[in-house]
Amino acid sequence: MEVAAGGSGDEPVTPGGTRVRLDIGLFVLALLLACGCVFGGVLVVQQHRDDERTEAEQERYGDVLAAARHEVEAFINIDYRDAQESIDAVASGATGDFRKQYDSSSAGVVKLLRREQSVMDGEVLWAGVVNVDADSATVLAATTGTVANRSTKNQQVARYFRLKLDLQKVDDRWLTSNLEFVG
Amino acid sequence: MVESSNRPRGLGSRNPTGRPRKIAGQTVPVEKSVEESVEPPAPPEPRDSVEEQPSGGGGRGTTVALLVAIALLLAVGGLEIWYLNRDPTATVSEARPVVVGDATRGEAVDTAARSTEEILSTTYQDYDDQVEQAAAKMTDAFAEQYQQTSDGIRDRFIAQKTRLQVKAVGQSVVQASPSQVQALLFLNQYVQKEVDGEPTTDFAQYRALVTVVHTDHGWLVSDIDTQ
Repeated sequence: MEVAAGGSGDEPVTPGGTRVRLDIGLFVLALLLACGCVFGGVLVVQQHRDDERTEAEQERYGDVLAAARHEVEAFINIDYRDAQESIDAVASGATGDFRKQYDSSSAGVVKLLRREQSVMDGEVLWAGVVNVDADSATVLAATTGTVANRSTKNQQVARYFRLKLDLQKVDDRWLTSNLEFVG
Repeated sequence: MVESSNRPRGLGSRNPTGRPRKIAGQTVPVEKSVEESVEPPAPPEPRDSVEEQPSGGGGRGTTVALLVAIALLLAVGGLEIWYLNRDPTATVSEARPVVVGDATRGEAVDTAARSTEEILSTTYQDYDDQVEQAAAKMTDAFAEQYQQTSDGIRDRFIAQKTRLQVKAVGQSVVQASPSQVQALLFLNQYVQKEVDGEPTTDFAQYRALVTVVHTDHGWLVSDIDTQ
C-alpha cells in the first residue's frame, strides 16, 4: 500500500491526490514565473524606451553634423559665375538672422562676387559637435580649400577656415542661425 | 429513414458496440474493474465527472497545461533576461557618430583638450621634465613617437630659449565610442623665442583632430593630427 509521506500510514495516497498536489505545485510555480515575467516585461519596456531615446539622441549628432557640413560647404563653395545660385544654396540652409542677412544683402553680395571675380572652393575637413539638444546645437567645422579673386590675381590661394555654427531645428530640419569665424 | 427506424436499437452506427448509452446522472458499468478487481466496485459517480477526471485530481490535461504554461513563461523570461543583458552600444557610423552618453563624451573631449594643451605647451627651461610629463598623457605607441620628435628638436628649442604656449579656444566631438573619442580642437599657439639674439613673438591658429583612447589609466592621447 502507498503511504503518504509524513503520514501515519493509515491514509492511502490516491493517484488523484498526488496529481492535485502536483498541479498545485505547478500552478504556484507558474504563478511565480508569471509574476517574474510581468516584472521583467516592465523592465524590458523601460529599457526599450531608454534605448529608443538614446538612439534618437545619438542620431541627432549625425543629423546636426550632416546639416552643418552641408551649410559650410555651401558657404565655402562660391563662384561669381553662378553667384545667385551660390547665395541661394547658403540661404536654403539658413534661418533666423543669418537667413535675413543673406536675403537682405543678396543683391550686394552677388554684385561684389562678380566685381571681384571670386571663386571659393573647399570642403569640410573635420566637423564636431560642441553641444546639442532637442532643438538647438553648436558645431565647429574646420575647412580646407582655395580662393581666387582679383586681389590674388585670380590665382588659387590656400584658405583654411575655423567656423562655428549655431543650428536650430525648424520643421524637422536643422538650419543654421549663425555662422562665425573663430579667431 | 424507414430502414433506420426499423434497425434494432444498440446496433446503429452511433453505438456499434451495443453498450448502453451513457446518460449523465446514471451509473456507469465498469466492465474491467468488475471482472478483474476483487475489491468491491467503486461507488457510482456521475459520468461527466469520470470523463473529465479519468485519474482523479485536476486531471492530466490540467498538468499538461500547467507544464506548457511554465515552459512558455520560462521562454519569455529567458528572452527578457537576454534583452536586459545584451550590450546596447551601437557602433560608430556616419548616422550615429557619437554612441556614448554626455558624461563620457564630455570627459573624453575635456581630457583631449587639456592633454593637448599640456603636450604642446613647452618651455626651454624644463624641457625634459615637460616632455616626460606630456608622455604620461599618451599611449605608449604615441609617446614613443612624441619622444623621438622631442629629441629631434630639443637642442634648437633650448638654444632659442623657446616658450611655446598652446590654448584650446574651441572643442567639439567628431565621433565617440566607449573605447575611443575623436575631438576637433581649435588651437591658438603663442611662441616666444630668440632668433639671432633678438626676441621674437609669433602667433598661429590651427586645428587639431585629437584621438583619445580609454585605458585603465583613463583617457590617453593616441594621436594628434594638426592642420
